[in-house]
Amino acid sequence: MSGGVWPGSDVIWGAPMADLHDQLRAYGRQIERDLADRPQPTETPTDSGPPARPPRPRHRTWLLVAAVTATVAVTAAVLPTALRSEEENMRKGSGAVLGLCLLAAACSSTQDTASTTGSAPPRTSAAATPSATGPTGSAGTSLLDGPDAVEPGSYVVDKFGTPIQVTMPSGWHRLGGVGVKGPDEAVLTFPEFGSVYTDSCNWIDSGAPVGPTVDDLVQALRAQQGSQTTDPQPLTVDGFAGYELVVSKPDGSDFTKCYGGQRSVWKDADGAITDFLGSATPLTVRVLDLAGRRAVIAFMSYQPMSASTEAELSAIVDSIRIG
Amino acid sequence: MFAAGRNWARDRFRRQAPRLPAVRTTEIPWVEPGLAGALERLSGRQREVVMLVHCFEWTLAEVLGMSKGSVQVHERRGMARLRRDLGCSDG
Repeated sequence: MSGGVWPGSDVIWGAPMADLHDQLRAYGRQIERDLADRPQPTETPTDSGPPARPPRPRHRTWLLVAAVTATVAVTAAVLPTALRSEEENMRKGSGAVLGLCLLAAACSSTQDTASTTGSAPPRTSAAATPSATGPTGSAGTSLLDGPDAVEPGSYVVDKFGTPIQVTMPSGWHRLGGVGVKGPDEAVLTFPEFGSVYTDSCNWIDSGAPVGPTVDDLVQALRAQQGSQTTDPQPLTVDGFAGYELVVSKPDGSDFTKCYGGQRSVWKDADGAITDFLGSATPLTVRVLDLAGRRAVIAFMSYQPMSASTEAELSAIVDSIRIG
Repeated sequence: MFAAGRNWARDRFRRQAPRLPAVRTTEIPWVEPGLAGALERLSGRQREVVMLVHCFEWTLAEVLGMSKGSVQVHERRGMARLRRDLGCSDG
């Protein structure tokens, strides 16, 4: 482990270098989401916008050129053994290399043009093509995967084995494959827990793996230092039992002195998603046992919620049906 | 011809790289906001290798046009410079 001081901060962290890898991976995913969601690549770039030409498509263009030319070069080296004379071999080999390299360059230009007109990276291609996921807002459409905007209608979350149906209003957007975000930065997420931080303030080095059961998670959340967690209230949704907890920051605490300026509660199973306690509303966590598999529904708001947003979020949560 | 095509594509890749999107801290709050700037300050080859390998999860072998040893060197130097820029020292 190593330590360091983030620029612009007076707080000294124990910053493991492995964490830099997590940061780079998360940043790469942000770029991929930007590319997938970008509607008009010709719009005026801003400081916060994605690069004019995305790294991965550019590199894939180069990769295409390199792969094709390498194949041609190898082929040209092998071909002569099957041909009649050395001179003829050289002529034919060189001609093949030249011709196919021009072909590769042409293909590369075509692909590059496509990438600058809105094509998405392969892992997020579905998100870049709204029609690829079928009509949005219809029952059976994935809530977590798809275009950025969530059209009003019924959606399904099927990551927990048993499908969870959710009815969404307009004005919400998908949030990194883990949930949705609406007005006032209200969020509804369906996280799979990798670890729970034992200290939500000095959280960076405190991640502890959490067991697979509902009780494991409830106990881990209740034991977390640096946050206040209510007693678990028994809850049943469509016959599936579980608990509801509300996690909040301690009264009078200054989360700006915490690592990174915020409190973090858990780390998602893929190691890339961390939820945290904002300063606006407590985090409500519903932990349910879906036929032996734990499911989590969590919601909060990073900004103070207006009455309409609060009612909207409440309606979404109330619309959840399981099975 | 192969080298010319490779260099043409690589140069295009590098020339476009220095402008990177800002880190959206509301979505990924555990990411240092200065990460994008630190990546921009890397050399072209270092940025190319670090971003492909660590941001987009390419393997070292997938980074073509350089020997594996060269890729490793650029990766190590790029990561070391990132750590230095971000204020984290090696343990």
